[in-house]
Amino acid sequence: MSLPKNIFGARAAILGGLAILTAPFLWTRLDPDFATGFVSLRLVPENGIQFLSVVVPAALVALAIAGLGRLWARYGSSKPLFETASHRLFESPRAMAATFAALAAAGFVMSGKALSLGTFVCIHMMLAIGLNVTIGFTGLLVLGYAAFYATGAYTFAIAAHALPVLPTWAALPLGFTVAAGVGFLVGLPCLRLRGDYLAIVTLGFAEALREILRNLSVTGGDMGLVVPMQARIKAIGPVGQGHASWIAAVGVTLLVALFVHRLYHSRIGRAWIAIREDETAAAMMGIPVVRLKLLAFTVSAGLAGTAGAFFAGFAGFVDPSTATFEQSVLILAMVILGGIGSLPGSILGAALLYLAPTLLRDWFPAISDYRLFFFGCILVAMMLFRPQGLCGSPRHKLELEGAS
Amino acid sequence: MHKFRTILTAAFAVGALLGCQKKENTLKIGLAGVQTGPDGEIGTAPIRGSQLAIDEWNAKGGVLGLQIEAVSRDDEGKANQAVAVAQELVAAGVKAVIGHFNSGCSLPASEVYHQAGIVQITPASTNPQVTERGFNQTFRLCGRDDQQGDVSAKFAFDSLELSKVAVIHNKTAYGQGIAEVFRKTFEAKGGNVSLFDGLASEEMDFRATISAIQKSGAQAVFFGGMYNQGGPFYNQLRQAGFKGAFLGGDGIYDGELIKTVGAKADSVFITFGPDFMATESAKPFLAAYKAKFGQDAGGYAIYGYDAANILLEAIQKAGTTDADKVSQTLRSQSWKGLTGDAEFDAKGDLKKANYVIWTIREGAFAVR
Amino acid sequence: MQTPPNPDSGALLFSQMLEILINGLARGSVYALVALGYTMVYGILGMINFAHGEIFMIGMFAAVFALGAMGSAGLVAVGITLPLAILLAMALSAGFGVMNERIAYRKLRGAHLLAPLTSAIGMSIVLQNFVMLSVTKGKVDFPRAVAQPLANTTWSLGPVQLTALQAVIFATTFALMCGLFWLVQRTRLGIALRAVAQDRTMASLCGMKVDRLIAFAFALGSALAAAAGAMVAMYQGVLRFDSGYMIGLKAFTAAILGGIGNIPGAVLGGLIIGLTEDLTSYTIKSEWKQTTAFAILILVLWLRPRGLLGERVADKV
Repeated sequence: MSLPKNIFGARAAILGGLAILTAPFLWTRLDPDFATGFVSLRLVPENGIQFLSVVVPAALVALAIAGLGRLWARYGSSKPLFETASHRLFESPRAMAATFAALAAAGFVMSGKALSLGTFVCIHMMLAIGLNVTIGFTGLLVLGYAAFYATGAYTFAIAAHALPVLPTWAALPLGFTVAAGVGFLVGLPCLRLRGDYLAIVTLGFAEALREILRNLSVTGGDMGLVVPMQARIKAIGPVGQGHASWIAAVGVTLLVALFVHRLYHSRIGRAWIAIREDETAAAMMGIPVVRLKLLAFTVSAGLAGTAGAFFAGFAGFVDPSTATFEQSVLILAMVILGGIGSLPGSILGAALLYLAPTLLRDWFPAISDYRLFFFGCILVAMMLFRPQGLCGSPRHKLELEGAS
Repeated sequence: MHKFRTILTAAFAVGALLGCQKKENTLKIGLAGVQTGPDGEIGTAPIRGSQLAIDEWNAKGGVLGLQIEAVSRDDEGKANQAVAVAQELVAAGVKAVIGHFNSGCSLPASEVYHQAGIVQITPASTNPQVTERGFNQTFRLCGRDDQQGDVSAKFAFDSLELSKVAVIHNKTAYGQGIAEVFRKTFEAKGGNVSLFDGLASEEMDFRATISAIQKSGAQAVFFGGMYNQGGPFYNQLRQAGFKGAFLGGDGIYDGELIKTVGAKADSVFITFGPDFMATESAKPFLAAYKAKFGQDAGGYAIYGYDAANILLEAIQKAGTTDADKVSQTLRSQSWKGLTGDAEFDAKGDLKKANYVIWTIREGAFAVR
Repeated sequence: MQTPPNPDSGALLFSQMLEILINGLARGSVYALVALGYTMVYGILGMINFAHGEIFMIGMFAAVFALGAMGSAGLVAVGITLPLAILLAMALSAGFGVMNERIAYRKLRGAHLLAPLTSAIGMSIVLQNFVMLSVTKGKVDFPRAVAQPLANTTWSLGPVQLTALQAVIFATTFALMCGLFWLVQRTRLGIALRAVAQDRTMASLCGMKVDRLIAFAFALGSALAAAAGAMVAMYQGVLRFDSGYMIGLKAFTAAILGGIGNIPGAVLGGLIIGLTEDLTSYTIKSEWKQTTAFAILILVLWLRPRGLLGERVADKV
């Protein structure tokens, strides 16, 4: 099989094809005549010019960044930039604790806007770390991860309504337990099957759950639920609500990261890796494959539930949009961008992917409609040129690029 | 322990110093609502309207001697994004917020504003719950779904003399809210709601639901949803041979609806505010809007413009940006705007919300 | 219990059930056409082509563009413009499908499952937003003058009414599926495709042009999706940049339900999902139709993991 080494091998043909195919979308406008009900097509350049005036410069910037990256790889260091930096910061439990402590302390000089943004980033870090347990460690794909996020969020919101004395910290164990339980039940029937079935079943589960959340009155329908004040994160003494949330978020993220780090370096973690590398061989060695896969998925779901419950306690509000496919894809993209199987990668990927669109929206409001478009482009480009992610391990790089 | 406290205090001192470095010499007003995505077009209009009003005030010298800075944020029409945006605005130090657009966004965001003690005026969120939670600094410059659903149900029962209606909604805070009010009023008047059902807002094939509507023996359909679904729903009803009236709320009042259903659409009855755009006093606003943004002002632009004007006037009158005082001032008197005289009741709703019945005549909306 | 059933209402119920059957089948045959694309790509590459729903959406827009172009040229006879528009939509979408494979998937062919899947999700986002940015955020109306006459022409088949619109959908779907079966089962090209699906390396060693065959499979699946897109656009009357998402997801579900990789399975799965949805809307409530569709999927995967018609496949993990 003759595969071209570089996808730009047939550059001209691809660009020409794209130009022809996109022409009707870019250079024409539909004119409906609503009296007769017919439609006519007019050639207009505005749309196309506007689109290209944003996309072409962006592509040039991306090429320049890629060029810089190559220069770094050639002359700067044998290790890629992100890998070096992130491994320093998150390598060992001690380094992680120090980094997070520094982050928490930095909260006192951060603006309120940065605090609220930062708290959301932390929630997504928990989600990315949690998803990494299934995807990265055991090599199982989950496409409906947001369902467990929503499970945790709704569990806490409903529990806080039912039990007015429920303290805020109860969110964490409650979210974890219920989401893990749901994850166990969802995973049970499909983990005996081929790998991609988990992806499909979780996807279906998420869609069904979103519909159920929208239809039931106990979940508040499409409007969602407001979490009672007493169950939310509040100001503590001199520490304002924004700071309290930020410190709590950093603390919980650290806990989650340490938990996963310990798990990864335990017997169980090694068994997971063995399963990912070669399931048959792992089974031959006496590793209870199905049970361990189920464990990974349950832990993963539980961590999403923790993040969801934290979100409920922080935002004070939950709605069915927490269970959308978009949300699942965002988390998946964070794991993949950071580097599948890499804990620092998940942290970094979550920070980048949450901050980038938000900052893009605030700094360049004129092109904020383009943020999802660029997001998609980055996903594709990452897979083509750096499938191991920003700080993935060389082992994963081999797997993802394939042996052929 | 002592050490920890010292560090904490020191950190606070540093934070406070950094916080004070920038001297505030503008009055920040948040403009929040959906600006991108499917609802981006319709949601940007009120924000631009507010922007226009703020520009006019700034040209006149601002308010309380301060220039006004508009901080505009996009909530993407998503509830969780709305919370993030609200927290951001509070953190950015805005003194009041005009927004949000979608009811589903205003609801959670108003919690944040309430907690922070910030005046909020929504120019477009019609769900009753927005002002029903006892927040005394939340205001609404448009009607409520219950007023709207009420007007529609009374019209259906009294004027159209219908006794059996199917009610379909799009499962959103807005659509379901208005549908439920319609059902309540219609049943209270002695009518019969033969079917009450919801369809996800991305669904465009209504045929199975239409069969269920026909089975239920409904004489007319009330639709709680937006124009992009209302158009195909109407067309498919007619294709299935359903001849009854098609009723809806302000969500289907959009020129795009007519493009879908065609000029000859019959028996479409929509509740919407009176025709403000046609009044003489709106002319300068419409011209200024067109000059600044290069587009005709959309349906809600005028509400955004009024909301900003009323808010700034109230701040001027109150002589302070303190939320309680501004709220009191807002409630204390009648405000002149392009959408008529506005008076707020204790909840923060308009005392008199005008809803009239519109219909489609010769390819355009016309008051019935 | 004791009162005998009213014969009139019984007949009414029967005719309405038939109507639901027809509506459900129309919906289901659209799912089936889209599901075929998922299943063919999975059969050959073992990957889930998440961008397929977007190709369907491109087909919707392409059909309206084609009608617009013909409208501008003064061609308005529905009998000519409609088939031509469907064909043009199929051609443009086929181009998009091939280009999609060339850019986003070809390099990742030997890679772990996650890489092409992520790339496909990225492609799906790109395509959707491309249409949103270049055409409109709002909706586009399918020309009424084309759809309305078809929707208003009805034939009585015994107790039920069949609109010309539905007839067009059934006829087109049936013709396309027959064509596909013939192509896959009876032609040399089909044999080559099946060979590639079975063992890519071996097929390549036997002198088959694997790259071209895979590109052809993408073109074929995309063209079918585009035909479905054109018909759905006509059936629903409006189209939007995000119209492909839900149908893509349903069609994908249908492919799994029937047994992914299996062509008759995709058709069966599509019809079942379509019927389930409409039956739910009619007998329970429209609110629950997504839930029942996915519940059926989970149930089937539980009881019969390989899908209704799928063959037993060895663990691939």
